[in-house]
Amino acid sequence: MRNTLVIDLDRCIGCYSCAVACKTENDIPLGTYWNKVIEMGPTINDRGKKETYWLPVQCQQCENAPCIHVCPTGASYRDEESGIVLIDKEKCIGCKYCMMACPYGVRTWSETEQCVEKCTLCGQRTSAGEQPACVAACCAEARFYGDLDDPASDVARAVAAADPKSVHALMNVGNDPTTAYLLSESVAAWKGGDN
Amino acid sequence: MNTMTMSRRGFVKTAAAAAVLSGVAAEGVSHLVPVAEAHADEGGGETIVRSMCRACIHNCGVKVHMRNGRAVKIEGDEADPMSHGAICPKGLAGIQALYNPMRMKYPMRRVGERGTNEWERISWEEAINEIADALWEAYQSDGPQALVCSTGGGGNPQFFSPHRFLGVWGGGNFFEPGCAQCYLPRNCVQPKMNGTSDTSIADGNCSELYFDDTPTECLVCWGVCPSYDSPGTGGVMMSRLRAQGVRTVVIDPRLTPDAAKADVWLQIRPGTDVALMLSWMKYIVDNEAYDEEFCLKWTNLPFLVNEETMCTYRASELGLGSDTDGVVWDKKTQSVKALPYPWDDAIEPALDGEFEVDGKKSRTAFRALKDNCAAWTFEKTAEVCWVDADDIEAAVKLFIEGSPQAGIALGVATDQYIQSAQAPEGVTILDCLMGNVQCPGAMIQLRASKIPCNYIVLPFDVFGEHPLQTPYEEKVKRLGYIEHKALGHWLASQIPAVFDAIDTGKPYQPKIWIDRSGNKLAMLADASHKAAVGKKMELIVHMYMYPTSMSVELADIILPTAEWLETAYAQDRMNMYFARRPVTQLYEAVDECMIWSWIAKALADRGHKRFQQSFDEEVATKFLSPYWTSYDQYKDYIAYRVGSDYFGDETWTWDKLDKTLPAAYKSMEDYQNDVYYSYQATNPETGKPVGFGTTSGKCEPYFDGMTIMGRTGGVNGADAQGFTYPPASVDYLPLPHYVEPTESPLTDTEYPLVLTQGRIPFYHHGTLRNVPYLRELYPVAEIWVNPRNAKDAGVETGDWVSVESRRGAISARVLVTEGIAPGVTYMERFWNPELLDSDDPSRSWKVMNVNVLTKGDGPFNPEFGTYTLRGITVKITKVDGPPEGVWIEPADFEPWMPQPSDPTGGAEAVYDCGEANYA
Amino acid sequence: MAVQWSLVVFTLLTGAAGWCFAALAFDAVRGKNRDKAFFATIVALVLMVVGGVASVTHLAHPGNMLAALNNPTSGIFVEAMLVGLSSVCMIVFAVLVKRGAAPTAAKVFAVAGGVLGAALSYLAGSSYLMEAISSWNTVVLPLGYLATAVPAGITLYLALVGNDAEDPQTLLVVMVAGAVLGAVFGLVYALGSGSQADVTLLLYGGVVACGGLVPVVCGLLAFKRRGQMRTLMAVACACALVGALCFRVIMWETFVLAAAQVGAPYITDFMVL
Repeated sequence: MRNTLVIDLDRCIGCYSCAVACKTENDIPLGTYWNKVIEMGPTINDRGKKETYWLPVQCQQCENAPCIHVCPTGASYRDEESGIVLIDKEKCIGCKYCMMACPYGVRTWSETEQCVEKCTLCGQRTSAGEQPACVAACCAEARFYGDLDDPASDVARAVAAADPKSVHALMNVGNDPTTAYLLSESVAAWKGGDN
Repeated sequence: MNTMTMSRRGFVKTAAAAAVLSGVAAEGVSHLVPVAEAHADEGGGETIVRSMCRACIHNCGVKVHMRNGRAVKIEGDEADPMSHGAICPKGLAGIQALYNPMRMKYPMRRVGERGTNEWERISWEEAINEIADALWEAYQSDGPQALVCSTGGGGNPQFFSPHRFLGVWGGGNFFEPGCAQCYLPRNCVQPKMNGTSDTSIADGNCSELYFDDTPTECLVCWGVCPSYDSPGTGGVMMSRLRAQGVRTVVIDPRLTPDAAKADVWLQIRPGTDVALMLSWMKYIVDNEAYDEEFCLKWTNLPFLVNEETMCTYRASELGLGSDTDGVVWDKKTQSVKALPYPWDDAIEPALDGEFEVDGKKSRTAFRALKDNCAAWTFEKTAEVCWVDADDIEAAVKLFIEGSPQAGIALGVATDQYIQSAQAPEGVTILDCLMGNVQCPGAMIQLRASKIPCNYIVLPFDVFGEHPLQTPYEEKVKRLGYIEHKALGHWLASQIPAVFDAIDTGKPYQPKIWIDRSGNKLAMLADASHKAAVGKKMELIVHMYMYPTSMSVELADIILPTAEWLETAYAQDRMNMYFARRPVTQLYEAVDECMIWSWIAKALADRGHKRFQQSFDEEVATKFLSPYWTSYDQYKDYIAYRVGSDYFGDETWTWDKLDKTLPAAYKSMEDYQNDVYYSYQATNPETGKPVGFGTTSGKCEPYFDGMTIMGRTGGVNGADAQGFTYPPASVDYLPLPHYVEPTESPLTDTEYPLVLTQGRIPFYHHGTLRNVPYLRELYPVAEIWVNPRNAKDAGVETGDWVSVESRRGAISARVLVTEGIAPGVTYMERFWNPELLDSDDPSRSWKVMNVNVLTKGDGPFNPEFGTYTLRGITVKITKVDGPPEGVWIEPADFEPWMPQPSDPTGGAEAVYDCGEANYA
Repeated sequence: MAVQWSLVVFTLLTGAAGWCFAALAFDAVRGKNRDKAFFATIVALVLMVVGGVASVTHLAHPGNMLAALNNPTSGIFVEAMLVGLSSVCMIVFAVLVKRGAAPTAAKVFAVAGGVLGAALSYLAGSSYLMEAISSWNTVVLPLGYLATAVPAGITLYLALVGNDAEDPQTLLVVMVAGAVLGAVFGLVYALGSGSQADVTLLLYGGVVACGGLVPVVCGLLAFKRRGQMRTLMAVACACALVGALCFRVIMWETFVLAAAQVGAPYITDFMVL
């Protein structure tokens, strides 16, 4: 069970709906994002053409999640049922080692909750059969949610339909992120990692 | 669900509070004390109201989650056939806008000097009476010309409220910052040329692009970025198109998402679009790539032109036939022939050529068009437009290959400088040459809404003669109209002419200004001039959801209008109709349609005959509706119009609409296929094809109709009411010529950079700058600077610069980016609501407002009187930091976080205008 | 990333305390400077406890520390255990010294406490080794934590022992070696971090000059000028502490996400610790 997001950057239009929908759904304070959109560019490519793409980044649902390894209390854990990396707010002591251990910096410190928070893949919605807020709101139909191990899922189908050369992940430093980004060379060269 | 959570009676008692002196932008503690926590749903369960967004003009279907009478969440509605459930940041901002602490809560009267932001609370009754008294006095002393009404504000669905009011009032002037600078040029020019529709995606056209498997093969986005102007509708559409393999050409000075993903992107120099259009025309004509049969049969291009009048000959002029028939050169007989509509198989008209007619040289319209673009080689165009000649060729070839399943969607960019008429002329010529008209895949389709511009509430002046239309002797006095007659298409006056009159009293002195919009000082060109002149008005009334610079700097009375979540409306979405349902009504706010109605009622009560008639359905007509004395009446009217226009049922009330919508009024298949080749359908009365909605029944790429309009007021010699006006001082030309921007980087050494503008996904016009979740993403005015220019100016990303034009200077934060070309800069409009409460509220529109820089004086576009918002020249200089007091850090916006409150019933709960009975 | 001062103070003070007690343990085994042992132990203990408390203030709530002690594999647990065990050794040693009882047992506790304390200075640094942060993920980092703690702890001890210190030569040699290595590791770490942060002053002024050069000079002078031992060591100690502090601050300043090194620089925008 590898529930995760797949994001088609060929489609993504950098409208920031996912970032705002995440905030309105999860009531996230000002200055904090569980899901942030970063413009990767513009750059000038080998053919002398200007190119740019937008990279939404949130918890990458790593298979070998360093946040879980470093957590002294087990507050960062993998939910057995869904396989999703989550944070047990009750157990978090605020040592913030997980924030340092995350290669993507997607964990944030909540002053109000006094614990570390991050994308939960909108468990409150997915458990009711809905899509995560960012997927539902996406104005480019570029975000997919589901189980990579289920070939019928939206994510598995999105990856299967893509040219293997266009399937990317953020840099893997042994943490094995499951989130896949789809980006064709014709739109822009991938700048997010070594694969 | 139930939105009425307290009794009106109970509310009235508590609301009869003493006047409260306070700054309108002060911290949003409501002075309204709810009488009871009479929640309809104390259980806390969530209900969903299906509604429609109005954070911009797109009307995406939304689902509003309600808990205990309060809106708690907004999502997209998957049933919407255009947005498919998507929702953009502006739509998501709805709740932070609705419960924003800055909301205007009740009518206020200014007590300090203008600009000091000191106010006292007054009742709706006092406000309406005070306004009506002033109007009635001015009407009796000065006549209708004393009044100026304006609208704007972004997303306002009651665009025609001021026109409607002025029509009944009997004269005066209407203006809007968009209008000649936004959409009017396209909305007027394109349908008058192609007899079908304009191609503004943002305004609901180009519906061809939304089908699951669109027949379109090539889309040209000219000065438009649907992904940014409406991510929820246009963004979804563009993503789907590209995924379907539709090829796109994007013409934009900015590397937008749609430019980044285009097959060909032309990073054009701002203000040079018409030059590029002329080069495409030349390529198409020189290479004979045009659709010859369509041009011959269904356009006016074979018609012979009277070189003296610049108009195509009418057969009657030469004694050859009727005054509706054009004249062609018949190749068979080598002679001039009248061409009866639609054509005569015995005649073989010459498309291209110069002949002798009546002893004078005469070219075909096609030849005139060919001569008109002859100079525009790719090389010359590349030099003028700052784009690569090979890229121009690649772009036009894609367009040609895709045609006729192709089209050019024209955006707002070209509306914003003095070639505002010529650009829509140019793209319409290109689409007509290629036969991209009413065929599958074309942008030009007769699928536009039955309601002009999709607005249900209309003026009395648009469907021919009406007892409540403005009389000729007042219409002719509209400021700037005679010079810029195409303004008449929207019954508008020219903004510079209006402000000149206010300033000088010539040709007459306007005295009262009623405005429903956001921030005129952030939206009008050369804001400093507008602010100074505006203060000469005797009474200024401003209606909006929250105070802006306009309220604080200029207004004498401010009236709280409703947010879209508090209003009722309806709108088509492809083959479906959706409803906007009021989910709550807060404070003493009200839909502006009621404010105009209440003023109308108060004037009727004072004896204004036409306003008395405006409450009489027999005069006003059921179709256009009398004014309303209650919101329920208005809602029933909306329902009646939707029921009768779309569902074939004249009996609809709001209840019926509420139970029915959203619903499909026809199948998607019919919606798509019903309109193709509409012009070929047989008119049962004549037995001939119905043709196009032009004078000739054909597309008129040779737009002599515009020339005639300049001389008379209409393409066929008269306006919608049959009135004919004196000619403008210069003739409007039938074909577009390129004019170098007045401030040109080619010659300007003092201000070396060209400034353009363009949308971002966070705001619509001047709206939403007080929404914390949006401001934290885009907190300040940003200026894009190419790395080369940044190096020259010694600035890096994040530095602050002073941006200066010949009108003034503002501050902006630098983004160094290849997204803009060397020599060009880009900014979006900005103003700072956080400064309204400062010692100097004027700074709210001064410190970051791009319209301090823009050019509000001439030369203007001849047809529309458009001034220059894009393509002005500026210079940048590094400064130490941001203007003092502006909010930048996310935590700064904490005071604007929503403060949810319970429904009050709005202004109707505290004000009753009384029965209208003037028999 | 923002400097996490709680953790800087934690590693600085526990490092100095650990090496102070380690130096004391060396003398205890040799039977030197016995009369200063009790006082020096108390000072080391206080620093160790204050340092430990500083680390707790990093948590959302101090009481949360108890939860951390439930998971014996975490870095925090190991650090807390070392702080606790070395403190216990110090306390037992102090009691035994005070009572003059069980001299062999006292030596055992001294050595145990010294080894644990010295080890803590390395392990506190090694907690920061993680794949995600490329600049930190080098053994030079914990070696720097260790080496910069050496002069801070030993000079503290010798300053407490004072001008009549018996046989300080070996300790001075170790101290000087530590100071030199501290400066070297500081240079190797900072210059190899790949960070764009400007740490010139922290590195050359703090780690090299203050933390390296001054203790080395003081140490060399102290060989000959025994009468100025306390002053020289006090000066060296203050400078060594500043150097060690600067090294730790540099670590935070040179935070570089691994992912950011391969062209995703804006990802660091997320880091709001």
